[in-house]
Amino acid sequence: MNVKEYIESGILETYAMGLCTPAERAEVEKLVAQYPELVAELSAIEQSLEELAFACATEPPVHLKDKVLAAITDTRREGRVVDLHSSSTSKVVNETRFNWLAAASIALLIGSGAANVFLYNEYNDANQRIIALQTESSTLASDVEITKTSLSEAQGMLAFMSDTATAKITMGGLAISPQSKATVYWNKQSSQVYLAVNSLPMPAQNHQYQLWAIVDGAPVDAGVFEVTDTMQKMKTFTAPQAFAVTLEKMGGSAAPTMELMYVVGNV
Amino acid sequence: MPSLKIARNESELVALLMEGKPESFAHLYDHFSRALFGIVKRIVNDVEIAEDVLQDAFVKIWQKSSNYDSSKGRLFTWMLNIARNTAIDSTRSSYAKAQSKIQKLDNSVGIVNRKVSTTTAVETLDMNDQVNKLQPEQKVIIDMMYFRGYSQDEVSKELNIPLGTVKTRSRSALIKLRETFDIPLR
Repeated sequence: MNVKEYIESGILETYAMGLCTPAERAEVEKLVAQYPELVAELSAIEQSLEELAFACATEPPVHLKDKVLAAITDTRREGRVVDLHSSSTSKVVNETRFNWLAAASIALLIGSGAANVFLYNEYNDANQRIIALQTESSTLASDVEITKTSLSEAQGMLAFMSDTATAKITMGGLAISPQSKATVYWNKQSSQVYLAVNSLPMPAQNHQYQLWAIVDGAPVDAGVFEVTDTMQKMKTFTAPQAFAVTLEKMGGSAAPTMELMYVVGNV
Repeated sequence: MPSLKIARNESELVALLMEGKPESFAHLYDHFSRALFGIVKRIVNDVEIAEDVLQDAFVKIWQKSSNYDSSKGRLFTWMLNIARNTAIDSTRSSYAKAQSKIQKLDNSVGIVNRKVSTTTAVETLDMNDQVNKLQPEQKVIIDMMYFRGYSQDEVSKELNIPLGTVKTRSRSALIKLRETFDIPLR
């Protein structure tokens, strides 16, 4: 299959917006499981839609949270384990006046019937246990996948930070916000730059912080970022002299707004 | 106030869902309720109905939480699909109710309003700076598909474009959106 053409068709966008037909849906899910490029592309599409939804968010009324929490405490989550129904068989044998041979054959017949019912129930129970276990194991497998991903992310970050070529540049707060602090990790060999926000005030609506690298005495855009507690990858630099953060309009500016500089630090 | 930050990362959020505890669910509510409410409100066009829909949607999310499969997409996409379907169902039933009460056309909500909403839709999305970088035709298609839950068919009919073009146009609109959010193309 031509992955590029498939991406260009726009089907992943339609899928991410929840508008695929059931057949398209099944196809996308099958292919996404096969091609890592599709996973990456789909995730980027979903992320952009998610950002858009957050950008166009509306605060629901405050009382709604309590209503929702009250409603869920009264509601059972659909279990992973299928309820195993208990089997009970009872047969009442009518007393008859047949001769012993007839009685014995009827008893045998009933006995084998009861055995059939019993075995059939056992078989059903076993089947349901298998389904329950399969469901549980696929859930566990996806849990493990999630954990693996976050572990490998953490390990990658640890390797980067402990690399002797990685310099740690602490950016201290300026007069506008003396408590502010952020840290840049810059690797001189790979030129990679990561940013950790230690403390910055939440930006006003439609504003965003932007990182600048000072190169040959002039500020160069290093990318905009969010105030989060995770490390953020910024643009790469081969020979920065210093780093600084300013508050800019959403999406960043071409030149820094000097009077809104929050933190700065020399390499 | 709408906030632009996404403070928790994806795996933390998924872990909160999987815990299945009301306390962790409350965090998920805090994180996602505004974004979901914004979209639900746009689909149903009525604040009170939107509240009911959001509540129903969160209850469904809770009930189905063990079905979420991160290999099939991000958590928000999954939650939004549930919320969007709940919202669309409610516009259909409220439309039916409106019809049975023989209400005046201009009072009814849902599908009737959806039909005339394309021009106003562009304005409602305008409040956001990033969305302003999109072309009007790109805004319209994102608004119809993502914020109002139109099917591909409905978009094709409404905009009078072939069904295949709906997909390619939604791709070009999203590429532009990704540029504005600084999410790289591969």
